[in-house]
Amino acid sequence: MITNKIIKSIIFSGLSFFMVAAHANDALLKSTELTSPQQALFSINNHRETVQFSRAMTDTDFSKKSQTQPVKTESQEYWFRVSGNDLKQGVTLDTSGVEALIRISPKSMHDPRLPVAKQSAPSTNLAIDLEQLEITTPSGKVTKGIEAMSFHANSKQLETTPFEKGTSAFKIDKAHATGRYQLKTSQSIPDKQEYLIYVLDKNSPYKLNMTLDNQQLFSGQNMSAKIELKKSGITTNLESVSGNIVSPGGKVYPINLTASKSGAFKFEEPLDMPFANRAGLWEMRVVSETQGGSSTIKRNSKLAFAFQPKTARINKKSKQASPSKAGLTNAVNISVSHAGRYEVTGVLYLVDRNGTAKSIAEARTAKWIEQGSDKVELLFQKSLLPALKKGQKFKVGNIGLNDQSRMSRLQ
Amino acid sequence: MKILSPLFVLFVLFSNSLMAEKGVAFVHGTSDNTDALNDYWTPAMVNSVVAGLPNSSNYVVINCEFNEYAWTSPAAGCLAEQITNFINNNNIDELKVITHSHGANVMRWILSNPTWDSRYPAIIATTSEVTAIAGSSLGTPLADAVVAGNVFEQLLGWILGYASDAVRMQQTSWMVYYNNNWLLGTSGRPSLPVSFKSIIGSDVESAFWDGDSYCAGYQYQVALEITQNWLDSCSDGFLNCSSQAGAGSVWFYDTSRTKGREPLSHQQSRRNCFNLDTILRNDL
Repeated sequence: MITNKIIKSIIFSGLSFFMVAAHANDALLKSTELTSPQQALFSINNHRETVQFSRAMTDTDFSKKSQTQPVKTESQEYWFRVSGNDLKQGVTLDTSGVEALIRISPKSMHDPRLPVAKQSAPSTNLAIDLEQLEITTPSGKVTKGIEAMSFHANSKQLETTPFEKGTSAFKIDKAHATGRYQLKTSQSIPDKQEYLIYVLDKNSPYKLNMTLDNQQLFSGQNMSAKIELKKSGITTNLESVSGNIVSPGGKVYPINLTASKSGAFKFEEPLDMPFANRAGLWEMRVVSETQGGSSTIKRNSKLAFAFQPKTARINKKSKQASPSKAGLTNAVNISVSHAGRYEVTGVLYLVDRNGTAKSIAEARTAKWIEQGSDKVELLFQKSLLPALKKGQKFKVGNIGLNDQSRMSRLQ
Repeated sequence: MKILSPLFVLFVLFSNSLMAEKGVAFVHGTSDNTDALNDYWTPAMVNSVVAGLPNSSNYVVINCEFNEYAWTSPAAGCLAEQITNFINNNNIDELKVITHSHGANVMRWILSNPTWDSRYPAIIATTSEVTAIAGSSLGTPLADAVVAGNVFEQLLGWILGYASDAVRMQQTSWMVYYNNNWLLGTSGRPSLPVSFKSIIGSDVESAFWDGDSYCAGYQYQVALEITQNWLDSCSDGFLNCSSQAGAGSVWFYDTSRTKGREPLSHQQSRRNCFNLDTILRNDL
């Protein structure tokens, strides 16, 4: 049957040309099974209208920069929470670079007697007054107020920044050595009030590098993460690292990181948490500590990733491409586990007689699909199709599938 | 004359309907706005820019909830609604969009996801160009710092010390994900369907003796000079230059075009400081 052939000879607009409907990436078709239809999932896009779009696309490199793209970050910072009482007693913080930047922010407190809407936000009344701070330097010198600071900003000066109300910040003067400091306040603040102390050690030679091999994961897929401490670019032994995975709603899942011979820590396990009930990304967060001379090298780091349900897949049988009055259409059959709005994308290539393909257009179609199977039709508008020269043909490829209701990149 | 007059009126009406109507939309950054004209841009800035339009009343100042994630109904949905109404009510067939800060990401969401909403394709077809002033295309380390230290409260079922979804979205590793998967126009990704050019703010000046530090509010300059500590040396106090230049093409770095080669802080780049309004007006 001619309709079963991949390569078809057709007549279109008075021109004779070959057209190839390319297979969707077979490797992608082998991805995991669909999420059980019984599993309740949120839906953020409930538009029901079918929308088709196409445009000229001449990028020579249309490779999809997604799915297996590693993501990296490096941290020269750490943070921890203390109580008002701790601050009055004195808290220690470690630096390994000069002019470390310290930010102190009062945090929201949960009052179990009050409903969510009445929980209090931090206020400027809880701000730490830098003038009432006592700083003991690593050499044992006790300084008052802003004496040991090369730069300082009170909560009023920081009022227009995105930081929490009541935040104050300062930089340790570079005349003071790196190492262990103590901060103590003589201010009258509530004992139980929580404060975040955030240290940005920007001039430290120590950086905590964190890498996720893949920023987009389905349930059951392995997450691969590497955490290593570098001193002036050279890997140094990490002593302890703890970590967790945090959902978009804030639920925390502790993870076990294992030390490797290289001195780095790794996490390599399949993810099987329940899906989140709201949009947004998940995060892997780690906290590390290592002894480094006169102080402890502390670092926090975090990286975001998508953990998404596999709600649909492209069926292998959807290999049709045909001319229409409007242009060139390509139908893609998909199976769907959860009703939602699904988008199919595709690229039209012009292939010359030597087999060299050049992208000339992209098409996208999104429609609402109920659980089961359905067909999504890509349309490359006629105005985008050049007249073919001898030996040239069109090829539709790079077929992609997105779940717009769950914001999942599926294939 | 009595016969010609109605014909003349018809001719004028017909001609007007055929003429290209150029319009401008001003899209604000991370904030919920009900009066962005006065609260975000200021009339002095907007009126100066739109003076460059053939019809200076053909503009809209967007008021949406950009504290939400970019794709949500109160953010991109609201932006699409207001732009669509503006296009339809004024017969606009050539739309120039001027964004500030996170507004660039919300606009880029629409341009990158044409099938998300049935209103998007017409917006893309009508938009001739986006000028992204200080766009947070690659996010900002400042957002990472703001969100750091939030904890989940089991009893509340929610996060304490919670920043807005828009701030969460602008964390750097979050923007890596969205840029690689849902947004177009960054390095290695397909281009956006319309021209998207950036104006880069490269520094903050807050010397109290320098009159230039007072444009758009001295207190903001002081605050942005503080937040610059989290950023690269080339930054506008909220965003690194690399983020502002992260999508589309760079139109210019502030000091190459501004009066007195003054840098534009993140606050100043939405106000009529150092001839920015004139530069934008002349580009219409």
